[in-house]
Amino acid sequence: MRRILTALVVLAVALPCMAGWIFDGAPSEWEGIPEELQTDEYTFPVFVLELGGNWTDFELKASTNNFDGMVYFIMSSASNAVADDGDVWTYFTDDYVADVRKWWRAAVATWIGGQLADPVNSEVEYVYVFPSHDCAVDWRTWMSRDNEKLVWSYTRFDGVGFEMNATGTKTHWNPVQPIAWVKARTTP
Amino acid sequence: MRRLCVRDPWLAVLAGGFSKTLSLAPGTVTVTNTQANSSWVPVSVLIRYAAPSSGSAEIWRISEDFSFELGSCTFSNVTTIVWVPSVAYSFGEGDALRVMSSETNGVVQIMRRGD
Repeated sequence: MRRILTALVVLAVALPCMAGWIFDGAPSEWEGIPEELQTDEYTFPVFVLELGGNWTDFELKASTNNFDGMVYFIMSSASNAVADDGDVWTYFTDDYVADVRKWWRAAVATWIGGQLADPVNSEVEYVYVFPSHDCAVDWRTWMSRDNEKLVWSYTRFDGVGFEMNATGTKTHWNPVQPIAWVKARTTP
Repeated sequence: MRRLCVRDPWLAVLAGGFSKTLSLAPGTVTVTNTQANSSWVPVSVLIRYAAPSSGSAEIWRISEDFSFELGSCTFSNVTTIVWVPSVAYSFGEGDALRVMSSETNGVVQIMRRGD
């Protein structure tokens, strides 16, 4: 009941400011509508990570302070997997299965190389990664396309070792941004 | 795409006035004030189609034999449309609010309050 009253009070304040057309709940103009009445439906980021060669796996991290700290961390691995996201969906194709076009969803925090039909010869050129809202850090506090502080980086991994710099002293990372934000994650 | 957190029923509740629900089947729906001693203002016009629809809608005021367009829109693949007037248009005796919709499979609910 309290929530209903609160909603009524908020709306009573908002409505005098709101005029125009609303289509399926989406106003043609947002001017004058309080932030608390606005929700973003496109809350799932989508990534395409380039792997290829021996790189069947990856580590993906996100930060809102340029990696002084992290808000997201996943790694598929044969020996030291990390899953701050308990329901991340990672899709790959396998060029040694019967239907090489088919999308396969990797088990969370599990070495992708080990899930291939031919772990030695199968190549994972790209993966699609769909983070979920089941994150160690509450997704609502950071996972938004409007968050201009949000950055992502990934490194390639072969299940045992990382891709390294030329002298082998540091891991090699790449900046990456979502190619899209979607309402619902792809589920073939 | 952002959406309002609230849904149409809240608009109806907040209107604090009265509503009239009519079929859109004729394509044009008109509500006329026949009361000699009272006037009302439209708070919102709510349209609901039977299925996601595309087309256009218009809101008109008919007063003293003149027609005034208050708003119009085109839409694509939507089920509900809400029009909220930017100012309080007063409808006295004989004045009419007309809603026109190219898609006719649905209903329109006109929310009003006393002026």
